[in-house]
Amino acid sequence: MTVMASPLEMLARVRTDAGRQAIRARNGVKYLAGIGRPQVGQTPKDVVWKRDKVELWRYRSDRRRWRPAVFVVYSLVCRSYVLDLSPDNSFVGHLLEAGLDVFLIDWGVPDERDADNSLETYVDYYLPQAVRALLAEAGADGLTLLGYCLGGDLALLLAARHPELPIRNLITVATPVDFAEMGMFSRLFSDGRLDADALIDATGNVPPESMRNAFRVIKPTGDVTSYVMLWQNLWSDEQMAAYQAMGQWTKDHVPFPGAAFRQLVQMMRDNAIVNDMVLLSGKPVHLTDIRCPFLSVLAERDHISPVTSVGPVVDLVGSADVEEIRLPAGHVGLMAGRTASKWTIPRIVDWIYRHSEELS
Amino acid sequence: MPGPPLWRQMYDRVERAVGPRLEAGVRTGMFASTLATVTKAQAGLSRRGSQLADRLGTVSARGLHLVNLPAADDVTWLRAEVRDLDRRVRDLSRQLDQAKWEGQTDDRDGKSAGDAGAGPD
Repeated sequence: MTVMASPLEMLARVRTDAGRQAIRARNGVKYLAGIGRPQVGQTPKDVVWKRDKVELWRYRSDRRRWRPAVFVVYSLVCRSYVLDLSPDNSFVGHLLEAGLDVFLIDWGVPDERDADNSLETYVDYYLPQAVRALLAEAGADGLTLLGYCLGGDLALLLAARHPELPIRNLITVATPVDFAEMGMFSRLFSDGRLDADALIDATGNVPPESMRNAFRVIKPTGDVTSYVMLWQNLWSDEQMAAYQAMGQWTKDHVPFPGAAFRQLVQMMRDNAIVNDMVLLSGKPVHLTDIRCPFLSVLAERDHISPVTSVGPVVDLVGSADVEEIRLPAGHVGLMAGRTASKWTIPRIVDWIYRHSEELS
Repeated sequence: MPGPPLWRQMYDRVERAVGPRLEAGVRTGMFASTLATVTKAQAGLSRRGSQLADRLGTVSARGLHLVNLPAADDVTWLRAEVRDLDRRVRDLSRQLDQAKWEGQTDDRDGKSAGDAGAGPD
């Protein structure tokens, strides 16, 4: 039986809707004009080490009560601020609140001078140097290494290739290792359909537009869904700010250094990590050489690093203490948004606590 | 807490039905072949465009050089020089960093070896 609303209730609804439409119109104009974009990456930090465009940040905190420090390694293709979108949606902020000492390596925006940066540049130079700077800064003799997406691959290679570095714990989040399972990317490069050089421009790098388009293609309904969400959230200033911050990040790619990209494509063709064929400076790198406690976090609805491409990592590392966390989230949802704050981050923090010491 | 509006529910229903099919299509070999062909064609066009721009640039550069003005070619050449210089500086600083680190490690190893050797025999 349908219950008719009273005239007063009807009036209240009309008023609410009219109010929302007015806010929608105002926010729509602001959005189109690009006014009032939210500030991102606002958690206070200090640059503690810098080489070329690469910076090591230490986030300020007066709550540090666990050691070792957490060293976050981010991907080479996007901006690191997705880990610190806004004060109430910040992966880094949650770690700080949990009493952890957080460092993050930011790769900057590569240009033609970085075109020769190879995987060795990152794994054998920037990362080891940053680790040493971190240890000196924190006055520590160990660290927990956490890599996200492609940053997780760099973290794995670093831990496997540099046993001399005091990596006490290793965490990878949404990190693909079985490149044959990477959907369109595998098909595009693995079967020799496309050479890396077809995507490299005159600067010697893969331009950000190519990266952006690639991510758009693998999720064909993504753009429409994004506009649907925009319309739905347009009436709320708070949700609009969150939408804009995330929207800004999804379009904000950086050039991928050409030399590293060529190596990555070759690694995809060889499915090098799974087949234990990774070579850096001509020397083999074996994931079985990783012996520290290891945690893999993966998202069940990840369209960039599908579960099947991330899952095998737990069988590839040589650690005795291996754990996996599977969450009902997407690639970015693992690290930002409600799923991250409710599920991912507490579980990562819990794992870190179990593998750290509380300072007295 | 109220759920999403009706229109959103309808969109989600359609997206759930269509989205996975489109994503599966994107993962096929046929799509990858088409995308590869388009990408190669774009790269080829872009190269031809730059070659044409280079030829036009050479003609205009002659005119600018006649009146003693720098042309785009000169800027490109200068950028390449600066880039090479920057790379050399980077290589040197990397070698220095490496040497510094190895020196520190040797010092530490030497010291600990010395300490070990300093004990009573």
